Amino acid sequence: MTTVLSVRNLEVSIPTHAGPLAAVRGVDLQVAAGETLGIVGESGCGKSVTSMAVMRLLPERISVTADEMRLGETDLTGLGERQMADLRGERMAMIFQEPMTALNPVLTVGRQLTETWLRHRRTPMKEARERAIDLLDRVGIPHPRERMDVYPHQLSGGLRQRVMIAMALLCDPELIIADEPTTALDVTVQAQILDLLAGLQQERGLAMVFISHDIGVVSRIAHRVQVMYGGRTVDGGPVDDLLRHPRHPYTRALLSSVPRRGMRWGRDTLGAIRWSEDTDDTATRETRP
Amino acid sequence: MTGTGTVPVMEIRDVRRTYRLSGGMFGQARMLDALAGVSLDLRRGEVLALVGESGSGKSTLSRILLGLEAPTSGEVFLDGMPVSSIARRKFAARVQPVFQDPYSSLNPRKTVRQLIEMPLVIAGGVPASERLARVRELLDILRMPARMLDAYPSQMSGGQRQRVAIARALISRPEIVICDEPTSALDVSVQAEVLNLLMELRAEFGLTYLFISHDLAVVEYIADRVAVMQEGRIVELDEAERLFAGPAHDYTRRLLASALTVPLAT
Ligand SMILES: Nc1ncnc2c1ncn2[C@@H]1O[C@H](COP(=O)(O)OP(=O)(O)OP(=O)(O)O)[C@@H](O)[C@H]1O
Ligand SMILES: Nc1ncnc2c1ncn2[C@@H]1O[C@H](COP(=O)(O)OP(=O)(O)OP(=O)(O)O)[C@@H](O)[C@H]1O
Ligand SMILES: [Mg+2]
Ligand SMILES: [Mg+2]
Repeated sequence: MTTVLSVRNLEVSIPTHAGPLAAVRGVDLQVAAGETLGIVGESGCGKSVTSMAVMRLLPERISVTADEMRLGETDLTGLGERQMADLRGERMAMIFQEPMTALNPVLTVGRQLTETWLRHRRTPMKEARERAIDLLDRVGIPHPRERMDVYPHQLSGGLRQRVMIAMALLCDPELIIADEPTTALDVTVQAQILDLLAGLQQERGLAMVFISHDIGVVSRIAHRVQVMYGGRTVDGGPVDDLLRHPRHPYTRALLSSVPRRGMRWGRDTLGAIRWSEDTDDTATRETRP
Repeated sequence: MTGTGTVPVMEIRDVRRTYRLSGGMFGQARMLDALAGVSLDLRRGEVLALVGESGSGKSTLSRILLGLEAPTSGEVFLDGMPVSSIARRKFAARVQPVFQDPYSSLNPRKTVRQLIEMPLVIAGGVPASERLARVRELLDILRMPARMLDAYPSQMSGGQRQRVAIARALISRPEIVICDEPTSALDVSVQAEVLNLLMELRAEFGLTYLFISHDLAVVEYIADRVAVMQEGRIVELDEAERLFAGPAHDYTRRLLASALTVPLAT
């Protein structure tokens, strides 16, 4: 299988008033065509920063280094800002955790989709519109033609999230990085989106990095999973393996916090991982002299 | 038994909300019935969960409950008083929101500390030192490191922002909290902590929650009653245990059938 994304030893350091925060500390990512890599881990462990670093969307003051960062044959570390901008949305696209980070509040849905398309493809406007409407339809948005004319604030949370998914899929990218892509969706729509993504993987060999705290969703879509903790990968493997035989104590703790159908407060206890200021701040402490 | 009363603390009476969608090229307006006549009681001390299709009107209903948006017709009452007649500050002291999208609901130019203490500042009468103490206490309960006090929303992860929104809602110890997907951006461990916290606060202070969520396991874990929405209407409303044991409406059945289960080792 051809490797689509290959990242080795990714490090991200964020300057803060309390000193540099080592948000990502030596993470590797390998994703082949048609494959989904799931990433799980607690809030603040560095999942979003990892994806933004790969997409090169972090502000300049944040330092990003890696021994290797490749998209197919392309060495991403050697590319300038312009060239990266050409790749984004065309060969690699991101579905953001919060839709309003990606959507422009003052432009209609249709305008944003067609502009993204026309930026990368020289086609008549009519074709751009048809493509956009087709994708809105495929992500399960009712009345896609009419939704082209609305602004993001006129959409419900779940509809907005689907507009963003449509935007990411628009130019048929090789790689999608999806950061909590289905959190705002009800389970029936969620199932539809997961089917759509799985279909694209089979049909077009789409490679995907799928970040989610919903282990049910990850277990359904991912082939392999990496567990992150404090900026590092601490556990990983084929999805069934990891869920049935978690090695790292953190993975076991994570799994015990998943609410399951049939549990009731007062009768069943939903375990939460015990926390101390220590564990959370190791990232900052270790980098200070 | 949870000791939930049957006294309604908020009542929604035949609420409708119609949006005018600006028409296409020729400017003809298209109307959208986001709420097509909803009546619902929120009982003192209960957790009422609202589930349903994306776009079915859950967030619209929550904004109307919060008095942030006026219904096209119908009315909302708090302890028998029309919400529209209650002074904003009085209302805010009793009813607090946690919004679905923490990114757009948090002012980007305010620090975590300023954001969380805001309801206390508005209510007035709490000295700065006590406000800070309460902010610290909540950050601790929500497992946010103290270094976050001076951080801005753009410097936080999605789950951290969500926790700021939750802390802000709880700090003034309101009676009613309207939560729109409060835990969907949180990892399972923090989610567990937040759910347990919300339930403990209820036991301690008799809080009432309207809890919008698409996560059925979460709903089953905490809800006393569940309302199911579809296309601007409530299609089913029942005690949680009864609804999960035997859903009556077709959509509820589909919803329960598509919930993903995790093949976990036990
Ligand atoms: N611009 C920034 N300035 C300072 N700190 C930041 C910035 N962006 C992220 N961080 C910090 O880096 C850490 C990793 O953040 P990241 O957003 O990657 O977490 P995450 O794993 O995606 O969490 P979540 O599940 O809550 O979304 C967090 O502790 C966060 O507070
Ligand atoms: N300001 C607005 N202008 C026009 N239409 C709107 C506006 N706000 C909401 N709508 C529409 O009203 C309907 C109900 O939206 P609402 O946000 O209440 O849904 P929801 O049940 O919360 O969905 P989700 O689960 O996706 O968050 C949707 O079709 C939405 O697009
Ligand atoms: Mg994140
Ligand atoms: Mg909503």
